[in-house]
Amino acid sequence: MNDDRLIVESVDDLAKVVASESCVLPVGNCTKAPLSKANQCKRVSLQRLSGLIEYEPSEFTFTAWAGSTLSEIESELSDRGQYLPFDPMLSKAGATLGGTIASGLSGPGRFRYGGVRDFCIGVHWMDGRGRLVRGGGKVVKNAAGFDFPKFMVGSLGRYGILVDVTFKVFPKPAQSLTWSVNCSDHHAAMNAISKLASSRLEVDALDYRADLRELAVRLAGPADVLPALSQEVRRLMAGGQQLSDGDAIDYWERIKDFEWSGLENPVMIKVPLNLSKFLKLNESLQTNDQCHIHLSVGGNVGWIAIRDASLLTWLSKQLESQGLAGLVVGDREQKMQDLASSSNGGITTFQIGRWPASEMMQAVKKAMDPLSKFPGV
Amino acid sequence: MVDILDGLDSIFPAKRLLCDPASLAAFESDGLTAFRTKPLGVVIPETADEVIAVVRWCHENRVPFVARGSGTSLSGGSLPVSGGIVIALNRLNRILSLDPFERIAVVEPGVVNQHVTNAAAPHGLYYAPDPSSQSICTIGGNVAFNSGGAHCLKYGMTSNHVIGCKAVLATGEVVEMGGDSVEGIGPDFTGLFCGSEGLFGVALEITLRLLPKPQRFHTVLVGYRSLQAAGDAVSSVIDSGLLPGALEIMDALSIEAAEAAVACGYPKGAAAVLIVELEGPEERLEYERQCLEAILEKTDAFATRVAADEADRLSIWRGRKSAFSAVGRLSPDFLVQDGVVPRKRLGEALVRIEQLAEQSGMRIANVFHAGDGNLHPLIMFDGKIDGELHRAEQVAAELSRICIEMGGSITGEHGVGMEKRDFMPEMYDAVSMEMMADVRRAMDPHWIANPGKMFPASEAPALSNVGLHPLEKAGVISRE
Repeated sequence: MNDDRLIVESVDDLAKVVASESCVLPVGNCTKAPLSKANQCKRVSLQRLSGLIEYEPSEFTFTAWAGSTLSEIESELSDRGQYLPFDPMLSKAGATLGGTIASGLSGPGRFRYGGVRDFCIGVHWMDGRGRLVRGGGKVVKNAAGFDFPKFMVGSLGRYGILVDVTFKVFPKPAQSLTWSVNCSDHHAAMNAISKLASSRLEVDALDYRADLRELAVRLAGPADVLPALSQEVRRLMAGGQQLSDGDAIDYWERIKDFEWSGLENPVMIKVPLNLSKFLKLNESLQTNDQCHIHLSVGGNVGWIAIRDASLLTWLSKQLESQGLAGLVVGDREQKMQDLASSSNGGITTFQIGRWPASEMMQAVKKAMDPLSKFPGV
Repeated sequence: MVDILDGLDSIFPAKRLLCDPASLAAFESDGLTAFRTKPLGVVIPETADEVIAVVRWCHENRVPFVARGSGTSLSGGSLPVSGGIVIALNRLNRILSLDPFERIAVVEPGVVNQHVTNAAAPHGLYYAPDPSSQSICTIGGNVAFNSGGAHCLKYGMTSNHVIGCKAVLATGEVVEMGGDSVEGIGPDFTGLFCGSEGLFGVALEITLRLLPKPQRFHTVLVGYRSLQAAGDAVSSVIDSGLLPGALEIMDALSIEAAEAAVACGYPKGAAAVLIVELEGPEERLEYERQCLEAILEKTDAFATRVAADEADRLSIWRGRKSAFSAVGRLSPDFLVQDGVVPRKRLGEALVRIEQLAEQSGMRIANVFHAGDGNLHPLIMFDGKIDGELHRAEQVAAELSRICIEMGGSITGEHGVGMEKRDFMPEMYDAVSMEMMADVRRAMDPHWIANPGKMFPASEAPALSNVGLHPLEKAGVISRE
């Protein structure tokens, strides 16, 4: 990607960019390439608006600049025995807090306590007039005013530029343990997920690698109690094996880093699902061996990896026919751009399948961005 | 029939279109009994199509409407609008589906909170948000006001458990937000709709996520000789890395009230009690129980009671959950506040409350969700004495300002409603208020959906008497 980003050093700089450009797309470190570009729009990076602004561990909250990388924040939290429980995605690649909210991506840990939407409790954003707007607050419980922090989750930089953000955090479990189970077929796997998700065990993460029919069950908590709980998993699953600590770390990191598929630099798509929808979708996708699916968050998110961006047209049709929507989030090698320059009329945006659309959505966009300073929706 | 209601009679039969003064009287107030207003009419739809029809009628005729469930709002959120329609949703009370395999339920807005948990129980599941009025309050109201409860620290509020919603907006447009997955793509409209206080429209179908019921609970009641000691204990628990399901404190006055009301057997002579509840699989609970014991031993406790069984646990909670209505035994009237302060400033806030009580000459009892800094000071007064209500309101206003000044919020779980709308511009600057107004206008160009709530306005209805809600007096509901 040509690095044509304007990198701002301050909020004032940002306001000047907003005032002078006709269209602005906020980005961080562009770890989600398809979401980090928009035609005829100036990309402005907030990567230098980074660092903690406030962190009081006893409050279970922190406020940081939106351009802070996940890795620096996770490291600060870890030093105080705390964490963001939703396994933020693409931390290793340099993803920022702002980009995490705007893209609305949560990792496997979303299963236990909730995702970005559940932990983002306050935001300041810059609107198209260069004004700072506040939504939410800095305390863990707050019912005053519209919940803009939640609205910003998944907003893709189309409604304003996140400047600083406040998150709720939790105490970090002392240890975790991962149990791996091979399932006889996908139906058995879905039954196992449902059973574990409804069990007394308070499972921490529950993911399924479809082509290997391999279920991964993560338990987290005090070291003393994990062996007993894992025995219960063994009993419920009638087998399986515990991954070594190294293998377990590797397994979960690969999901967070989009490296689970075995494909080199795949195009990666997020599809909200549930167990029944997965079964149906997987049936239609498994005809294509260039397409892999990993089911995360206890069956609620499908990560689809494809080798070739030209498959997006086919994939979009599959999703469309099942009433599903997909967000293309990973495309490190700019395969979609190649597609755009080819003559086959393939998909060139990050939206595939059936996205929700309504008059209300357009009305809200117009209300929040009356000058159309940000890309359209 | 009032002329203005012409047209509604083609949607509703006479028995579900109420205009007579006696019928309207039943809807003139909600849980915040300080405000009373008679609506023009009340409609009682039985289907989503009827709700859509009446909202469209309101839109076409520019008639304001207020959707209402059981009317338990403590912020005046379901207070009628003079010259407007009340849409009473209690008959839309069907659980449309409950899917234990996916762990979700789709419900109509008039379904009572507790009924969701009751329906999920045979599958080992439950619906987590537990406002104290859960035996009567409805999911529609919970969604509108993003209701809380005693377990928010660990599990979040209503919006954290709503994954999808079908609604009719004030424009008459029917929209579907979110879906049947806990994850979505695109901006989180479901999250925006939750807590919008009925200002966007009316929820028709709500998709809730269900959680597995905790295997075991460990509930401890601890007595302290000072509020400060109880507050210090909360800090110790939080700093230890434990994540309790609930952390609650009651002060001497609220203990006295609860004791008089339900004989809860709290430690005698306590200046404050702390309730800590852990939950989870028994192996983990056993480990955490020992951690908690070690922490509490180091605090300045003079009495500790561990719930021996489920009945004992419920009796501990009965004292806490009855505290608000019990205060009605100490005082003919009271106002309840719902401010939030950063946890580390709880002690400071309590000192300020004490000073306010001294200055105003009013007694203030304190009950609070200590784990998340959510205060519920109960300001006691006698509404029959001239000027007392006004003075109580001034104290309440000062408490809201203290919360804002300390970096907290004017409401943790009751919503802004009618009660705290004038403080919104103190909590949010003009630009942020303008943005909220712009979004509201996008959803409701004519401001007909629950007008007079959340935003400061001049259309306040006349104040009336203050006191227990009739259902509280009857012991049917209690406040959080």
